[in-house]
Amino acid sequence: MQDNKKTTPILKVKNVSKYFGGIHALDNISFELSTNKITALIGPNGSGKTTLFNVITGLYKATKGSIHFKKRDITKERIDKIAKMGIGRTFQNIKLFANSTVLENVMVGAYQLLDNETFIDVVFNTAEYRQLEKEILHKTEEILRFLDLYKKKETLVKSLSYGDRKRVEFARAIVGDSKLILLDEPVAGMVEEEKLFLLDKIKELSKKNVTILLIEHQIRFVSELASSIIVLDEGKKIAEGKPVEIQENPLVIEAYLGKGAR
Amino acid sequence: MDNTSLSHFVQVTINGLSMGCVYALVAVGYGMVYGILNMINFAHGEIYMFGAYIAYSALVCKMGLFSSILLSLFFCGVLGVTVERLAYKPLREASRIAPALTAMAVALLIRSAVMIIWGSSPIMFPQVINNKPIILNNNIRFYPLQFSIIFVTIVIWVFSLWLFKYTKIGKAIRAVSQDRNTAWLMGIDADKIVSIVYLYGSILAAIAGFLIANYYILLFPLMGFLGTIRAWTAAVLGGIGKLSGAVIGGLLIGLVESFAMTYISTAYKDVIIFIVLIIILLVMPRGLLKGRGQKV
Amino acid sequence: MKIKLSFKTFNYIIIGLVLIIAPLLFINNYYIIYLLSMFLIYSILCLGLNLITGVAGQFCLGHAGFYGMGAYIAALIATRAVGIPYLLELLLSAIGAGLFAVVVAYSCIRVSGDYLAIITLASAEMFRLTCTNWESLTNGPMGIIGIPYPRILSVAINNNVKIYYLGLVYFFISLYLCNLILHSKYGRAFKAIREDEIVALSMGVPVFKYKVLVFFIGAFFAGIAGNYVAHLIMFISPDNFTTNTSIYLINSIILGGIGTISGSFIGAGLMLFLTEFLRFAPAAWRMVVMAIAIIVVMIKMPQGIAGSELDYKKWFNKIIK
Repeated sequence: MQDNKKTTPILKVKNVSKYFGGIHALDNISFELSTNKITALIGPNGSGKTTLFNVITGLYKATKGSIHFKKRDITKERIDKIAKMGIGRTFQNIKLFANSTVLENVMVGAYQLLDNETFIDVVFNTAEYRQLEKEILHKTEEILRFLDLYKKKETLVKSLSYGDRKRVEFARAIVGDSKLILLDEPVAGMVEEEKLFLLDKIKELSKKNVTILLIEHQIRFVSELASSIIVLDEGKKIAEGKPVEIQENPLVIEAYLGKGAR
Repeated sequence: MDNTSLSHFVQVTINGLSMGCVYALVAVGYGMVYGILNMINFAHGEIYMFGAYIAYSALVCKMGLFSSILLSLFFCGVLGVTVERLAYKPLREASRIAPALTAMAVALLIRSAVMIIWGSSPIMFPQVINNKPIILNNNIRFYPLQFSIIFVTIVIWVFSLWLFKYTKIGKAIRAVSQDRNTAWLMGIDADKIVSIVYLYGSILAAIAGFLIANYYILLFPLMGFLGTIRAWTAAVLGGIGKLSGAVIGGLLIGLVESFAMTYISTAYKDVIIFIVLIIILLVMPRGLLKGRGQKV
Repeated sequence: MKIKLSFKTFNYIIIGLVLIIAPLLFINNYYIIYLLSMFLIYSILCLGLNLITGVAGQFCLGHAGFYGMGAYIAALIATRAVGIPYLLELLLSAIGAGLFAVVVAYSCIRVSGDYLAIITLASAEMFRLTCTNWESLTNGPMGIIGIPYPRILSVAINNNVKIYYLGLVYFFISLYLCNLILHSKYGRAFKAIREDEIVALSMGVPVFKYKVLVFFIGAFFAGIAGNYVAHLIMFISPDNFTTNTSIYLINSIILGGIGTISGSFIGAGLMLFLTEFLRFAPAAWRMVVMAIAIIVVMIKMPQGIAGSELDYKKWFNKIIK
């Protein structure tokens, strides 16, 4: 807990609730993400993890509470504005463009780096525009190399394996230089080898001045990766702390194994 | 409002309602196909036109009223199912625009066929239904035909609702419209259900075609296209995939058309209908009855 | 320097050369040159529509409205406000059509998919009906006649060959611009919108703004085509801009290959060929043949001609190697 105090939080979620009619998908959730750390969000199915992601990224608007990113209130901000401020994400059920190549897919993520590319530049094909496009292409290829996808850059996404697709989506989330990356089950459904590879890359990424919040089911995986863990159950935050503390927390064990299991 | 303008108002409402009922009939069939296959069936109005022409030929050949209607229903049903099997079924897994395009082509095909068989100039429809207006007090004219149109529409509406909600086939139709693949897994022959919906939609189109032919006493090849646009507008207005939505949408269009013609301008009646459509979609993006959202 | 000749550039060069040389071979054949000019018009229209419908995925059934707006602005200025220079008139046509599309896009602010299709169709119909009924301005169903040949600065475009080459310039510029836009961040954002609006938003693309933009660009091209057709045929009437025209254009891009640049002019050429080739047949039979052709092509190649892997591509790649 003391580590948190040293760095300023990049994301502050304060008393956030999200109701869908009578269903309380999120109930009074508060937490802070410290800069350049990996935080894991765990909890059983339907505990509100993905909903929380959607609220942070602006896909859903919070019913109550506030969210601050880099000290700015983003609670009521538009989705694209939030993305532009530097929050990248992946989706639980991979959302890639199946009929486009890997390169094209990842380049979409670089959109926010191209603020200087105006329509006039494009139409007149200015040197500045060509330079920008070249840089983006470079950067994208670099990311693809980083994730061992470079050889497949011209492959259509629909002919990729599941693990590869997950990595492409990961690449798309990080190519835009977002300061905060939200990963929705980044390694779910992967083979062991792929999992280890990606976990490595996530660690490497966090050393490059990037804060990561990830959803994962298995405590085992996150405990070696994350510096702190937040546990949700039925829309409520039931625990937060270092992996060791969480693993021993009776509330967490109950949420995962059910009341009768003890 | 003095007495004459009041009776005028009532008259316009009656005319609008009966026109609206015809649109509603076309829109119900159209909307069912729309709901189940999620495709814009540009050929639906052509089937309605085709039905009217068949009925015309049957009547000209001195067939009885009843057998003419049956013949027209039969031909339209066969046409609808054939078109579905030949032109739409092969494209069920393609992108959404491709089947819309073949539907346009089918519409073109039917329209040209009608032009080849019956000629492209308008023809008079033989008046077979006794249509002497009943003149109420205040000079309001109420035609028996208008009454039958409204009556038939209500009957078909109620029947369709019953069919949808309470019968086994209705349940199967709803299952297929929600998720065709899951329906297959549940043991529903989705192809058969789709064909049944086409058959039903085409039969409704034929009935509407017969009624409109009697109402306007005029047939022309382009009436199919106009019917498609009206039905599509009605279905969208009411909410895609909603059976009652199509009926309400159809009635609304009929009323707007009738009032616009009388009180504003005949030339701009379509413009006014479209303005109403755009305003309603701006306020209620999924139509009056909150139909399902659309993805391309 | 070794020039890498890809299949695509090779095709473009061939098509470009054919279009430049063809009219010289048929210099006395009015009909062929007229057909080639119509091909240019439909190609430009299809390029614009393909951006809206093919690339950005907005099912637009009202392209004829934008086209008509361009044509009517051109015709009105050329016949009523004679002093205005041609290039300004061209710009006004294009921008006028673009602004019309922006209004249409704004009225679609809350809808998408089929709802959008019917609103675009409705807008084009409203435009046509207004042109038909506003007789004091547009001369109603009789249309506007006597639109003069254009005059660019001091160069008079005063015969059918010259005006063909003017169209060719427009065609090349449109092709070039489309190519640039398609490969910029705008093109990528449009494609992202087509594939998944949520993803596009999550990547920072302001989806609605871009939808409006793509309508503006597509209609801008349509406005240029409209301006050109007014000066080419010298007569326009509301009948040139019916829903049938919109459907014809949609047919062209889907047959040619949706979302591809080459698909736009392949489709335009093919549809024109089909209609003109069957000219000898009575109208109804012509439509029958065309309808059957569309259905067969669609079932065999749902991705359109440019979207399908055809044998001649493989053949070309073999030759190059």
